[in-house]
Amino acid sequence: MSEMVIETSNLTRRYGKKVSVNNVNLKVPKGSIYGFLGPNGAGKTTTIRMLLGLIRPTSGHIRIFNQDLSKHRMPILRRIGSLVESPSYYGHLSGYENLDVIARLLKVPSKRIDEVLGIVRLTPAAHQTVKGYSLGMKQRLGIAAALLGNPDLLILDEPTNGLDPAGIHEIRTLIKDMPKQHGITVVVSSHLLSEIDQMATHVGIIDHGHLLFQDSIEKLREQSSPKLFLQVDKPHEAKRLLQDAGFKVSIQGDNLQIPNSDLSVTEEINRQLVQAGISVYRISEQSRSLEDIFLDFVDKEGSL
Amino acid sequence: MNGALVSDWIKMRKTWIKILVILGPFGVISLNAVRYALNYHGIVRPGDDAYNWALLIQNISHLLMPTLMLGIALLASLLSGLEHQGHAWKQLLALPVSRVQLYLSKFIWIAGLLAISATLCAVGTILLGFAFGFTPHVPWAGILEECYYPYLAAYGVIAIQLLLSVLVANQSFAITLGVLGMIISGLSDALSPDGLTHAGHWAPFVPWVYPSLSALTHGAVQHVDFAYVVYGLLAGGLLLALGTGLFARKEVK
Ligand SMILES: Nc1ncnc2c1ncn2[C@@H]1O[C@H](COP(=O)(O)OP(=O)(O)OP(=O)(O)O)[C@@H](O)[C@H]1O
Ligand SMILES: [Mg+2]
Repeated sequence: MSEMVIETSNLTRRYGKKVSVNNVNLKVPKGSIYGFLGPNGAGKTTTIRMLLGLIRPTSGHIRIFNQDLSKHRMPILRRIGSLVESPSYYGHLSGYENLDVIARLLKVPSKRIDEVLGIVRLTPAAHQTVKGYSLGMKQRLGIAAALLGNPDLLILDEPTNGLDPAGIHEIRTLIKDMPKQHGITVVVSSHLLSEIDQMATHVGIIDHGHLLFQDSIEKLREQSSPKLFLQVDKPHEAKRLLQDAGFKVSIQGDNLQIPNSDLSVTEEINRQLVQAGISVYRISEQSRSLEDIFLDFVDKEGSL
Repeated sequence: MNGALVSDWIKMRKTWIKILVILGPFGVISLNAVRYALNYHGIVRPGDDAYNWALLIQNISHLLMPTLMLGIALLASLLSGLEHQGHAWKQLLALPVSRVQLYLSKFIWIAGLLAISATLCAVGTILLGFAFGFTPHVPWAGILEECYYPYLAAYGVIAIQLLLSVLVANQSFAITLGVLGMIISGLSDALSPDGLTHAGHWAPFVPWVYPSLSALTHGAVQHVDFAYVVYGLLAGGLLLALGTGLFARKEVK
């Protein structure tokens, strides 16, 4: 098993009676890009605030870099760069000065300010006041600020929220480079699966405070591989027959479902059924997009 | 600690805060200059420089108190407003920096800037006296007491305003309290020196009246009271400790 950078156990946060984060056990492997996915109000920001020590958990524990956050907040935070929800900035200062404010607190040399401005491609606008920045530029300034202290872990809460496709693409490229070029583990939250899909190596899906899924993105994709659906006149008989022939079959309503849709398999199944005198009305292939799977997770939860 | 102080300086050096520090004492001195210029013969007793100096100190002191109280509220509010406006608290407090230092830095800056204002006020008083020709008997101690005693006695109020400005993002609360404080500080000013013996019972529990009671002047006679400076510093220390504690535990939205 690979080393975990973040591990939470039964992390819970209540606001009054409302449970915003409910017994969440996050596991973020070292060197991963962990997509933290959930619809609005799912509990992403609340979880991230707890990871950064901005709010306290109602119960549960957080271990980051194998240390207890409640006991070693300072040394842990020294290795984290973060961006929480709406961008933070001093509008009357230039981008450079905004970073200078943080650089003084972190005691990093001013040369590092130029470096991070370069990484997020803000060098040309470095001496403009941030008031005049576009949302995308502010978001990139936030990422620059997060990178300032040479972090080992980057926690970004909806970094692409409100950006146009070009801006989203740019930030995605930035994030994808982090583990490769800088050896940084990244946690990035989003409410769009398509966005996470294009950069994450691992995914956690949260809704109504519950972590519903957590694994590598491949595991999530497996669930989206195409399936074969058969409509026949005698489904139970057909199922028995196909199972005897070694196929994995399940019944869904009046349909038979087979988790494999190769052409040869389709042909073989059809032939066996027809030879056994079972009428096949319809054969169809259904593939579900990641988006469908995500919505499935979220819907199931909603109907609980 | 240096990091926090320098970083706060970078934030405020391009704001009104700097100008406010000069504007306060400048307003107090220049208003008095105008007043004397318009009615010089009605105010000044020729040949009685001791009286003239004392009256000048009194006139400046009366304007200084409300200016000081309002100045504290504005400085605290502007300094915290910088953080509230750009949603900067969450970024700042997720940094590996002690919250105690971040909070103390703000207090030190307000106290430091007001010290500059107090000094400018003392310098202004002396220049004004010289300009009116009250040269021979400059009451140095009286002038220093007039400007520095209220300033030191106001440390409790600084701590209160800073706490409210930091904890409540909507600065109208802090400014409203600042204006109320200014009115309360003026109440004690209206008391005659005889009334002060009565004021003695409740005044130690109301930090807003410390500044005016620390350097009261009536009928061109100064009644400075160092006790209120001590009260002010004690209240300042206690409330600052309380504020730092609350800030360190504050949940960041
Ligand atoms: N300070 C607060 N007081 C009361 N309730 C809160 C507070 N902060 C969050 N909540 C509640 O907790 C739940 C989770 O909110 P959170 O901000 O973590 O969601 P999110 O996943 O970040 O959503 P979004 O995609 O909209 O940013 C919401 O239902 C919200 O109403
Ligand atoms: Mg959020």
